[in-house]
Parts: sequence; C-alpha cells; structure tokens
Amino acid sequence: MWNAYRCQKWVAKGLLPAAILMLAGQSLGAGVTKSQLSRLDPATESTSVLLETSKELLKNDQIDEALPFLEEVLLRLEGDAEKKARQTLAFTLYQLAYCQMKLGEYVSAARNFARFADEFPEDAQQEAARVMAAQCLTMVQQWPMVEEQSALVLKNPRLPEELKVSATQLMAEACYQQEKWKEATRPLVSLFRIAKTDTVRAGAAVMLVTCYVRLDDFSNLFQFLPHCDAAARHDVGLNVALLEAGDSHYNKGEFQKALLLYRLVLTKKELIAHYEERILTLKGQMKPFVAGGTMTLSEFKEKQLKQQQLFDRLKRHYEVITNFQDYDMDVMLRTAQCYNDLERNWPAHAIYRRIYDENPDSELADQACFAAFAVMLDEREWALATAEGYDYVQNRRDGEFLDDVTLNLMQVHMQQEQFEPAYEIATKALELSPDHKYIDQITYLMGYIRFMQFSYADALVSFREILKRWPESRYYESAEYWQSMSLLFLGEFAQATTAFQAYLSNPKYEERFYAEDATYRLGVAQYGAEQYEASEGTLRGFVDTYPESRLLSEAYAMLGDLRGAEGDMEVALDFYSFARDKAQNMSQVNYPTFQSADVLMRLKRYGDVISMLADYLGKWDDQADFANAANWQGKAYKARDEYVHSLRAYFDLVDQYGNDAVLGGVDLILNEVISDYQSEEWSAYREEIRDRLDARLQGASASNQRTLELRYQTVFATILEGDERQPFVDAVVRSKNVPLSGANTLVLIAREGVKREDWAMVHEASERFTSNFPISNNMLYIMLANLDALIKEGSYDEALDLSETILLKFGYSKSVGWARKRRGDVYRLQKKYELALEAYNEVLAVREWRGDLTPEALYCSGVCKMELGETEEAFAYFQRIYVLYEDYVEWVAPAYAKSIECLEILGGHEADIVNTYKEMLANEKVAATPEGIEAAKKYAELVPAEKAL
Amino acid sequence: MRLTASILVVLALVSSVVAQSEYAAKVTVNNGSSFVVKNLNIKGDRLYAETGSASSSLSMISEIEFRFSGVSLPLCEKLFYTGDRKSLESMLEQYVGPVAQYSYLPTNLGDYLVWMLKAQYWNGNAAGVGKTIGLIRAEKSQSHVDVASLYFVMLLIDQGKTEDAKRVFESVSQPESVSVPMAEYIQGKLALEGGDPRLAMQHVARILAFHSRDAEWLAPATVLEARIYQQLGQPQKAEAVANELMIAYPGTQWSTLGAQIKKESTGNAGG
Repeated sequence: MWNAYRCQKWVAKGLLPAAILMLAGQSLGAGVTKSQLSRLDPATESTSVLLETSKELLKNDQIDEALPFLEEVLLRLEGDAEKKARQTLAFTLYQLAYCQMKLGEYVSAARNFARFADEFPEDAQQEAARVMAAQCLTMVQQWPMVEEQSALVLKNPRLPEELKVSATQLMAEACYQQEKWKEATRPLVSLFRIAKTDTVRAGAAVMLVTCYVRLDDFSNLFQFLPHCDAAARHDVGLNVALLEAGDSHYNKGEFQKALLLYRLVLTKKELIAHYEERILTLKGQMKPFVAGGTMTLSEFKEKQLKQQQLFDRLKRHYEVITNFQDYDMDVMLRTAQCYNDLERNWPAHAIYRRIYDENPDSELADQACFAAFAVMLDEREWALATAEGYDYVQNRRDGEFLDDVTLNLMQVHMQQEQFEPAYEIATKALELSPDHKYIDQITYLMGYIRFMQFSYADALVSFREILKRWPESRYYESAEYWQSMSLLFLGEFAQATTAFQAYLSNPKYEERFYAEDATYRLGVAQYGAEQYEASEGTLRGFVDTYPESRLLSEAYAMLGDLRGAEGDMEVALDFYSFARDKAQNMSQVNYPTFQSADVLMRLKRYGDVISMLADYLGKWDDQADFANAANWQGKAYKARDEYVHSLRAYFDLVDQYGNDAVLGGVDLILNEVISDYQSEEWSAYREEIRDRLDARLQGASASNQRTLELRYQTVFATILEGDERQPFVDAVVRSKNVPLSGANTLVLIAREGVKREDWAMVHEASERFTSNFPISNNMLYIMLANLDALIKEGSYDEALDLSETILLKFGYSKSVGWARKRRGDVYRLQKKYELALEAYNEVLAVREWRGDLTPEALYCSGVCKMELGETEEAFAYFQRIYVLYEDYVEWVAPAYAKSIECLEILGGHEADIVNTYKEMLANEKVAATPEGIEAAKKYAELVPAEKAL
Repeated sequence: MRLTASILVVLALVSSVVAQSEYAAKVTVNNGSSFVVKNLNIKGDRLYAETGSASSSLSMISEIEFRFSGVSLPLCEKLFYTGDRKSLESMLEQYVGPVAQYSYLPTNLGDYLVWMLKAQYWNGNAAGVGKTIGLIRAEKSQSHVDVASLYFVMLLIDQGKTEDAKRVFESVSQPESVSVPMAEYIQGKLALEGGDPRLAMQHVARILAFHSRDAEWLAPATVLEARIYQQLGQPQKAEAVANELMIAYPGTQWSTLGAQIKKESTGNAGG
C-alpha cells in the first residue's frame, strides 16, 4: 500500500520551485539553438562562455545539453581556492546535481548534492542540497544513505519548517524501509504532528501503526489511534495495515492481538461514507470567482488549484475504496473467529448470527450459520445450540455443514439424555442426506439410543446394519460389541454367547477395545444359556486375565453364585469374600455381602451372619445398605429365637441414622417392626415392641432429634387405632413438620392432610417426597393423596396430568386404577361427561383394577349418563351394581336411590319404583344407610301404612 | 508517542492564561432581531443591558446562543474520546459552569451539559452528576433528558439501587435512541444484578460484537464481560478478558481494573 503513495508524497514541493527560481535569477535571457550549440566545444571554450551557456541552457530547461558545460566548468575550477572560483564551483556543482536529478541520474545527482553540502557547509542551500540528495537516494532505494543524509539535516535545530518536514519524512521512510521499526517511530510521530497535508499525515499514520504493530507495542498503538484525525483514521492504507497485522497475529495464533487489530479496521461502508462526505463538502466549497470580493484573482486561482488537487486526491482514494473487494463481512468473520479462539463465545455467536441474518444469500452465510451453532456447542449452551442447529437444518437444506449439524444435534440431545429427540434428528438426517457423511456413526448412535431405551431388538437392527454395510467403519468394532450386548439383554443367551465369542476371536482388531468387558459378558451369556461349566471357565479366565478389572468383583460374585448353585457353599463363600475384597463401589460390596448372608443362613451359621454384618456396618458406616443389613441381622436373631435382639438391632440402626430425613432405609427398618407388630408370629412381643418404641421415642425427644421423633410417632400412628392413635397423628400432621419428615411420615401427613382438607400441606408433603424419595415404594400412595387434594381443591388440569403420570409410572397396578377412576371424577366435576365415561370405562376394562373400584366406576358412569339425559342407560348401570355387587353396600344403597330416580324421570314405572323400594329396604344393611332411611320415608309416603305392613 | 502529553501541555497553558470564564451570548428576541452580550445579566425574570438599567422580559427571548472562548463542542468530543475526561470536566466547569444555571432558558447549553454529565460520570463525580442532571432536566429537551436519565440509571446501579435503576430505565421510552451500546450495557448490568448472568452476557456480547469502536462503552462492556465470567465460575476466561483491558487501554482506569480482575481470577496481576 505504501508504495502506491510514496512517489507523490516525497516530492519536495517546497524545494523544486526554489531551485528553479535560483536558476531563473541567473539566466541570460535568450535560448541556445542547436546550431549555436554545435559551434560550441566545451573543452575549448573559455570558462566564462561555458558558464553563460550553462545558465542560458538551464533557463530554457535544456538540461541534457547543459550537462557537458557544467561538467567542464567543474573540472576547471576544482582545486581553485580563490573565493570567486569557489562560489562558481558551488553554483556549478549544485546545478549539475539538479540536472542529473532531472535526467533521472539519481546516483550521480545524490553524490553531487551530498558533495555540495559537504564542501560548502556555509552555503544557504546546503541543507536543501542534502534533502535533495536524500530524495535522489530514495529513488534508488539507498535507504541507509537516505537515513544518513536526513540525520545530518535534522541536526540543525533551527531548520526551516518545510525542510524539517521533508527531512523528517525522508528519515522516517529510510528507517521504515530498513525495518528499523523503533528508530522509525520518532520521526513518524514528529511527522504526524508537523505534516501540512492529509496525505503525508495519513502516510505517517500508516507507517506508525505498522511500526507499533511490528514492535508489538500495543500500548503506544492504542494511545496513538484516538489521536488520529478522521482523515488519517479513514485512510485505506492505515486500515489495510491493521487488517494485515491482524492476519499476521492470527496466523501466529496470537488471537488476542489479532482481535484488537481487527476491531480497529473500519468497514468499507464507513470509509465510503467518510470520503463521500468529504468530497461533497469540498464540492460545496468550490465556488466561482466573484470580482470585488475579499480575494484577488491570483489568490482565488491558487486556492482553486489546491482545492482541485485535494478533490482529485479524494476522488482517487474513493475509487480505490469502492473498487476494493468487500472485506466487511470478512473482517466480521475473522473477529468472530478470534473471539471463538479466545473461548469468548458469546460475542462470536452474536457476530456469526448477524452475518447470517443480514446476508443469508452471501457466500459466508452458510459458514456463519454453522459457526453460530458450533460456538454455542463450545460454550455448552445446549438450548441455544439446539435452536441454532435446528435453524440450520430448517433453512439450509443444501448447506455444506448439514451433516455436521445433524450429527452434532444428535450428540447434544444424547448428552442431555434426550434420546427420543436424538433419534428423531438422526432419522431426519438420513432422510435429508441419504449419503450422510457420518452415516455409519449416525446408525451406530441410533442403535445405542435404542439400547439405552431398552429397545434391544431395534438396537440390534442398527448394529447389524453397520456390520453389514460398513465393514471399514471405525464404529464396526463397537457395533459388534453392542450387537452382542443387545442379544444378551434380549435374553438370547445362546446367540449372545456366539456373538461375544465371534467378537473376541475376530482377527480384524489389532487391539480389542471391549475385550475385557466382552469376556465378562460372555461368562454372563453362558450362564444365561445354562452353559454353567463354560461360564465358570470363562469367568475364571477373566479373573486371571484381568486382575485389575472394574468388573473383577462382579466376576467373583458370579463365580460364587455358580458354586453356590452347585451346593459348593464354602467355595461360594470364598468367591463372595474375594468379590468383597475387590469391590470398587458399594454395589460390588453389597451384592456379595448379602449373598454371603444368604449362604450362611442356609448353613445355619447365624452367628456368622450377625458378626459379618456388624463388620460390614462398622466398615462402611453411612455408605452401607443398613436397611438390608438390619433385615439379615433380624432374620438371624429371629432364627436363633432371639427376637428381642433383633428389635435392638433394628432400633439401634434407626437411632443411628433416623434423624437424617432423606435416608429412606430407616423407614424400611421401621416397616419391618410394624410388620412384626401386626403379624401373628410375633404377637407375643407386641407389648415389648411398644415399650421399646416408646423408650426410643422418649430418647429422640430428649435429644431433640426431631426427624427421628417424627419417625417413631409415625410408627405409633400406624400400629395404633382410635383414641390411642390420635395424639400421635396430631403431633405429626403439621405443615411445619414437612421439611423434617422422612418418607413414611410424609405419607402419613399427606393422607391425613386429605382428611383434614389441608391441601397446601398435602402438596407440600408430596413435593418433598417426590424430590427426596423418587424411587420409594410409597411414591404411588403419596401421589394418590396429592391427586385427591388436587381434585378436591378444583385443580382439575393438574389432577389430570398427575393421573397420566401415575399411569405412566406405575402401569396397571391395583392402586393405579384408583387414580384413573379419579381422572373420570375430574372430567365429571368439569361436566365433561363423555370424557368421564371414557375414563370410567377404562377402569372397568382393566382386569387388574376389578374389585372395589368396579361398583364405584359403574355408579359414576350412571351419574354421567343421567347428566347426559341417557336415563335408561344410567338405570342399567345402577341396576348392575345392586345385582352384581351387593356386598358393596356403600355403592348399592346410592345405586338403588339413583335407579328409583331414573324410573321417576322415565315415567310410567310406578310399580317398578315400589318394587325397587321394597327390594332395597329388604336388605338390612342397605336399609340402615342414609339412602335406605330416606327410601323408607319415601316408600311410606308412597304406599299406605297398612299395605306396607 | 507523546501526543497525549503535548495536548495536555496545551490545555494546561490555556487553563492558566484564561483566569475566568469568557463567553459571548447572542440573544435573539421574539421579533427575530438579535444582539450579542458578553455578560448575561439576568435578575428575576428580566434580562438587563450590560450598561445602564434597560431590561427586557425573559419571555421575549426566543434563543440564547453561547459561544465560549475556551471550549467548543468538537473539542469536548475530542477530549472525551481521547480519554482526557478530567481536562474536559474542568474546562466545562470553568467555561460553561458559570452560565449553566440558565439552562432553563432557550439556550444551546444542553449539548455542553451532556458532555459535562458524561465527563463527571466517568470521572466518578457523583455529586456533579446529580447537579448536572438537574440542569439538563430544567432545559426540558426530551433527548437530553433521556441521556441524563440513563446516566442516572448508571449512578443508581453503581450505588446498588438496582430496583430504582430498573424503574428509571423503564421510564425512558427509547433508550436505544440515546445510545445502543449504553442501553445494552445497562440491561446487561441489570440482568447481572438480577442474577441472570447468561442474559447479561448476551447484552454484553452485542456491544463487543457490534460497537467495538465505541470509545465510551467498549471498555466498560469488556469489564462487565470479565465480571460475568467471574460470576459464572470461569476465571480463565475472566483472565483473558482482563489481559485485553491491560493491552488495549494502557495507562487508564480500565487497565487498572484489568489488573485487578486478573489478580482476582488468578491471584496474579501480571507484569
């Protein structure tokens, strides 16, 4: 860029006119013709003639012809010390240098200008001559000499301003061209301050910025830039210098510096706007001459010339800029890349997004759209990344990165365990791009997803497809392993055995990534295929080959199971012991521990069970499965007929862990106590249980262990009835106790809360239970209580949602039927009778739910039919209740009442009504119900007393 | 590079030569005629002649245009954006300060007061900010009042009065018309104070991405970016941003802040 300006910048406008004037003052007047010249021989003419001729020739700009005359004069006067001769020598030398310069003989010109300056230090033109020498040297790029001559000129502190500007320019460029960045900065700063024209200032700014950038002197760079005026700041060269410097740093991986430089680059749009404004302003200032104004014609012409020159220059710059390639988006893209490389992904994202939004059809749009997605992936902003990814899929069907986006989207979903959306986008990916770049990986992941979703058959299809279609895929080995796993989990043990064996012997793999895992699984598959001997052989081989395996403990435990099944109990116990020793997590500790307990129980070694579990509890403390340990200890004590010891073991563990509300195991132990209390087998110990329970409760209260206290109170509320129970219920069922309560206590609070119609407390207990005990056996009960509360408080939509959740979570278990019946109730209460009927029909249709719920569902269906005006159908529902479910008095009585109501509505059934009353009242239990008493009254009104009697 | 230093020297000379405020005010009356005074002599609701006792009602004045000998709007802009805000504030205080009380009249003081407000805010002169906001409000130019309101929001945020800041910000109908990066910055600050660092980051990102040559808001936005990273528990990113502050704003409060953030993030302020 610099070269484009250099020539015009370094023409010393102040000096050339001065030299011309000097010559003009010494001229003789007329020109010298060719014939005159032909008659003159410089070698023979007198010195005075030579001088006169030279002056005449110079005056007429006959420079070429003047040279031999000047050279001859120089020759003759050299060595003459006489003053006048010296003056003539000085004049001649200067003119000779000037002519040589004009003729493009820069080396000679420079030498003679320098000689002039050296030999005539007192001459007024001495410094100008040096500047001219330096200028000539720039033409032949003798930069060290330019620097030397400029330095000599700049030694003079009283240098005229114009010479100072020129010398500073020369010095700056000489240093700059020699890449003496540090030395160049001083004259450049000076030049930037003293330059009289925008062009020179801009040139200085460009070089200065380059120097600072090359020196890595960002401090001075950032101090300098704000002081650049608009003209310099908008110079194309300066902006290109910043851009190139940015690129240079970027390519060196210095992203921070690159970013700072890119950010400084003004956009093409900004540059164009700046030049358009300046050109327009200048045009406005260029007005025609007005006679009699403040300016003379010559002043006007001088001003007009300057304005025209500026206008032309601005126009040239403007054209350069407009013809310049559009770099705005490029700079934005590079800036965004720097932010991304610096892991500052948010601004990167904002830029990429804007590039795409504002230029959706540009060449860079596709890259920007993909990058907007990718940076949000880097930032682990899954929601935004997903949105960007789907936007790409939606809008850039032909995009270069479509395959990358779909694969990444799939992986993002998988990372968040959103397996179904992951599968959907994978399906879409293959639909949009049948030759997907990552088709094998996508297929593999689809299989993996299905495996994680327990859809082993579908998973198997995907893994087999990979094995069939892409034998060279990097996912081939994984597919073979997971194919075997799918077969194993499908229960196809024989096939799984074959598959694992095939994998383990496949010569395709140099290093078998899944060898360890596959060997263990082979043993499991063989076990499943009832190839016990082979299984034992595989597992023994496994423990020998992989003594450090994370599955070692599990292999030992399985060997224990194999030996135990063969009745080889002692060996089994040894394997379980190894399994415990090699355990790497609590699951690997617990399984062999409780298997050992089982074996020891079978061997009637109750003492060993008790001591082993005591060791286990002592060793693992709060990590231990203390509820299971308590269970086995209890069993062992009970087997030794030491029930009181088992009670002590239970309560000791409850006391130890029971004040921690989130430990669900405590409730399991207390459930064991409740179960014992309620069983016939241990009925002799009821008083003992109550006494000990009471003592523990007192202890908990005394030590202010509120959660433990609530737990014991909950047990009392469960095992007692009536007046004995009530104080415990009252003590427990309080809103303030919710945050302190364990699982059983929360269930009690929720259930009693429903009775007390304290819906807020029910919701609170339910919420706490759901978050603290997500896999508790009591979950269904607390959800049912919550459902009841929602219905009763009128939160029907939430109730319906909960009912669906219950069905999804618990399937068709007995208690779920009740939730589904309540779903019908919700619709009924909302007067959506058709939907209610559907819900009740669902209850009536599921075999598992038949029983208590059936008459209730029939009754409710009848009510709905009545509301729909379908009275005959309603009657049929009520009739089915007292015909088929007569034991359910609570539904039979209202069913009778409703069927009479139906008959009344239908009309003409008086005899049927009387008969129905009779039938109803004939059932003593029904007659005693409120409906029965009401029916008796109505019947008496309907039938004369004597007839009734 | 000593350009800054030389400008400072020039300003120092200007300050020492001019001992007291100097201005000329071109007063235009309702009939369109105008006159220039060198001293605005206003008592009550009347403007008195510089000599004699002649006066006219202020309601007769349609415009007063001040011209100050030592300060102009381009100079204000230059000083503000080259970072010499202390000089700007003292200059405005010296020249504009004595007539600022007349902002309630139809004057051209509003633009000067806005520069004064900006300088005072960034120089940490909270009392001055409060006073200048009052003067700007008296001027009753909606665009200037909006600017003043946004700086008032900034002040309230600095004082930890987030709710008040939010309320004032919401009262400005189009904050973007004052300054897009400023509006983004305020929203970023409010989001951060409101416990939503991700939203805050989205506002900051837009400043960094699209207003990277805004000499007023880029540096504070960069500091805010670093603070957000700190709050998000990403000290390495905060450190990277701190490095930028130290490189790009040498010798300013922003590089000092950068060093402080770097120290907080890594325990090392660097060289």
